[in-house]
Order: sequence, then structure tokens, then C-alpha cells
Amino acid sequence: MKLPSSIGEAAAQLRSARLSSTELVSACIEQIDRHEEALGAVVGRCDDTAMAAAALADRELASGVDRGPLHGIPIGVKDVLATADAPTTAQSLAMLPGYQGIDSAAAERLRASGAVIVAKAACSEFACGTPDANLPFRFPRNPWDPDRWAGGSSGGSASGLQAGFFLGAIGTDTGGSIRAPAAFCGVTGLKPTFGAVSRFGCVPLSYSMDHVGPMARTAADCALLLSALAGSDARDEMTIGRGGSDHSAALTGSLAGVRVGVDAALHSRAGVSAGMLRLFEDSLAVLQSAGAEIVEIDLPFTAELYAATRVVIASEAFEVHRQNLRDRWQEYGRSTRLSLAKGAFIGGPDYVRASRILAGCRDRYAAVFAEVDCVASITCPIVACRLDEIGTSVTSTAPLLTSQWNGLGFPAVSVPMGMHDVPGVDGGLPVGLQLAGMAGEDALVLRAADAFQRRTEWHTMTPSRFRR
Amino acid sequence: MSADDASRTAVDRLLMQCRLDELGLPADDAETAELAGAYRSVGAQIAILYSTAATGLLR
Repeated sequence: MKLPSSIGEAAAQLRSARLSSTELVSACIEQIDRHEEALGAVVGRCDDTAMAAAALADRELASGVDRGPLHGIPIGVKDVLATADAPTTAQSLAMLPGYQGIDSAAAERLRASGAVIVAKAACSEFACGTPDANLPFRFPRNPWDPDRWAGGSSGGSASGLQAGFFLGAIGTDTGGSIRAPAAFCGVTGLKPTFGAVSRFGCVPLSYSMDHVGPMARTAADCALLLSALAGSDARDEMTIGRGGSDHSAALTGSLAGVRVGVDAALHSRAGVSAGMLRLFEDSLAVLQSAGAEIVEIDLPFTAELYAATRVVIASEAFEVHRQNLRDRWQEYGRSTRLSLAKGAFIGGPDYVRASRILAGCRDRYAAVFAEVDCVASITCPIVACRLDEIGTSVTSTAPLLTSQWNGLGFPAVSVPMGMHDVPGVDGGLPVGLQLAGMAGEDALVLRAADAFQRRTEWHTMTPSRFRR
Repeated sequence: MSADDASRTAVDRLLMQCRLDELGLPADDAETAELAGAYRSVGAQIAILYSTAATGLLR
């Protein structure tokens, strides 16, 4: 039996009784058994509770209880999100208190939708460090080349998706942590509008920049996940008053009437390679074939927006960890503690200044989105690096094209748009196309991503050793 | 490294050590030196926030 690779496909098979959730979850657990040693994508397993949940999902479907498209679907949850049935470590020996034995809002909503949480996905320490061989945690490797990084910080979610450990995953994104690993591993990931998804039970990094969001093989699957995750939650004041909605309804396959803005200078400033630019140009042609109009634009205040975003993230991350760093400095990974300590040198007035700059940028970018519906760019200016190459140049380059959307709080999705030639890597490595929209226009960016995927096959590509 | 640069690096490092001591963060010498470098890149970002162009963004 060929197992489904997408949530949509699995949901159809579960309802036609060609597949049971028990069979599907068992297959995912077997895939983890077979490949986890090589990948390090999973930091905690929920085999027993997952099998019990799958059996319940089957009984409910058989008795006519249908919780919707996620019913019986295996999901991986990033290990900064609390789950009642598995420890939450944030991959740190210096874990903050308050995240054990409870479900995060994301986990609650997944379970209410009938989804089956099969694993806690590995991540960067506190969603900000880099792989550290001195910590007793494995770090996520890239399924396209296990000597390379899956990306940070939701690397296990992306790597596990590509390897078939689960059909959907939940990540978090403070400066690109959903979109960068999605690009590196060749999967799809959405950073929703700020406040769309509750962060209750999520180990924080940056109060005003953290986003919880979906990752999957397709934009259509991300839409299903977002519809389940989004909505108001009194435990996260940023979500209050936000309604949930059916994001799948917008996926028409057509981009007629949609204006896609492109700022070529963005890529030259980020040092994007000629090969990546060719893939990007090909992707724009695909969007045009779906009916989109490509419009050249000049994004305003890019340097100011980027600087303000980084200053706010650094300040807020240090605020979260200040006391813990003082008490448990040596228990943090070296790169994590140094990254967090940077925030100690930003003064209060500078934080206020950065916040005011961001407010001004939101106004200016709202004006941009009066002229275009989406902004397209490459997701990351680099491909997945070798694990022994990770350093400041990688961590400072990877978020160059993603973190501004965190500063604005606007939605942005990354979809695979091709394979980039890399010496020594047969077939090359995946590259992501990023599509961003105005706040609240999550359905529109998903529509653009879905229309792209209906006309391309990059999102269906899987390294041969992981095919099921 | 010029004499000016060396002097600035030494000053940055001393400032860094003072701030780390004040906060009770037990960074070792190598970490303090690394943070002094990071301090410069953060400083460059902060400088952008006070540029003439950025001032135009303030409400």
C-alpha cells in the first residue's frame, strides 16, 4: 500500500476506509524507527499515546464522528510547545519552568481537531541557538544530505516532514524559524499574521515577534492546519478578538487579479547567487501562468526595518532569559548564551526607538500592500550549510529576507521552488520561494502558494531513501 | 589592526566586562571578547535606528 504524502490525500483515504489512522500512525512510527538515528529530527516520542489516539480516531470515524480534515492525521510538534504527554525541553539543560504536564494552545487545538501528536520535533536551543555537540541533544540533519543542517530553529519539524515522520508539523518563527528550515528541507511553512495563533504554552523567545505556525508538504495542508490552529485565546492577549476562519476556501488555483510585487534590489543586497535568481525568475513565470501580474516595486526602509526587528528580538530574548542566564550560564549552549547575552547591551531608549520605527514601517508597508497583494522573494539567500560550517556568517545571513515580516507581523509562506546545484550533493539542495502579504491576508498568501504548487512538483520531491 | 582600532576594541571589551559583571553574567574571557565583537554589530544596527532616514518613520 502506498502511503499518502499529504494531509489532504490522507484525509480522503481515511474517509473512504482505504486507510485507518492506526495504519497511518504506525507507518510514521516505523519511519521514525528506521531513519531517526540518521536524522535527529525527533527529541521526544509519543508512540503509546499516539497509537491510542489513532485507535480512538478510527472508532470515531467508524461511528460517524468526524472532527474535520485533521482527524486521525499524525503531527509533529516543535519541542518549544508544551504537550501534556511528553516532556518539553526546548533542547536545553537550562529549561524554563512552567511547561511540563500541560498542553500548549496549539496542542489543545490539534487534539480537538482529532489530530494525533506522534513526536516532539527537535529544534535549536530555546529556538535561537545553533547545533552544539556539547549538549546532550541531537540536532536535526537535512534529509537531502545528513551532513548538512536542517536549519533553525524549527529544523526537526522540517526534517521530519520531509522524511515522512509525520504529515504535518507545528513550528515557531521569530525571525524566519519556520520558513528557513522549510526552504532548506524542501517543505512548506507559514508564519501567520501576528496574533493569529495563540502562543500559550510556547516557550517564549521574543514577546512581540514569536509566531506559532503550520508546516507541511503543501500550502493546502498548511491551510488546513492554520484553520485548526487560529483563533482567539484569552491566555495570549495578542489573539483576543481574532476569529478563526476556513483558510482552504480561498485556494482556487487561480491568481487572476493578484498583483505580486518584486523588489530586485532585495536579492542583490542579500548576495543571492545567480543560480537562485534563475530559479526565482522561473517561479515568477509560474505565478504569471496562474494569472498573477508581476509588478516591480521598491520596498521602503528595508535597512531600518531589519535593524529594528533585530534590536527588538535581541532585547526581548534577553528579558526572557536574564535571570536564568545569571543562574545557569554554563547550562546553556555556548552559542545560545552568547546570542541571548547580546540583548544585555541594548538600552531601554534604543528598544523604544526600535519599536517606534517598526510602527512607522507598518504604515509604510501597508501603503505597499495597497499597490500589490503579495511580495515575492527568495526565502533564504543560502542553501543548507554543512554542520561544520555553521557560524556567525550563516546565522546572520539566513534571516536576511525573512525577519522583516516578523517585525511587521505580516504573514509569509515559504514553498519549495527548485533545487540549487551544490558540489558533492547529487541533485542539489532545495531553495524556497517566499510569498508575503498584508496583515490578516494569510488566506491570500496561501492561495498564491497553492496556485504555485498546482503548477510545479518541487513540493513532491523526496530523497529516495525516505520514499514509502 | 590600527592603533585606534586596537584601542577601541580594548575599550569595548572593558565596557562589556563592566556590563556583564553588573548583570552577574559569568562569561569567561573568550566569551567577553566575542560579545565585544557582537556589541559592535548591535551598535551598527542601533545607529541605523537614529539615522536621518529612520527619523522620517517616527509618528
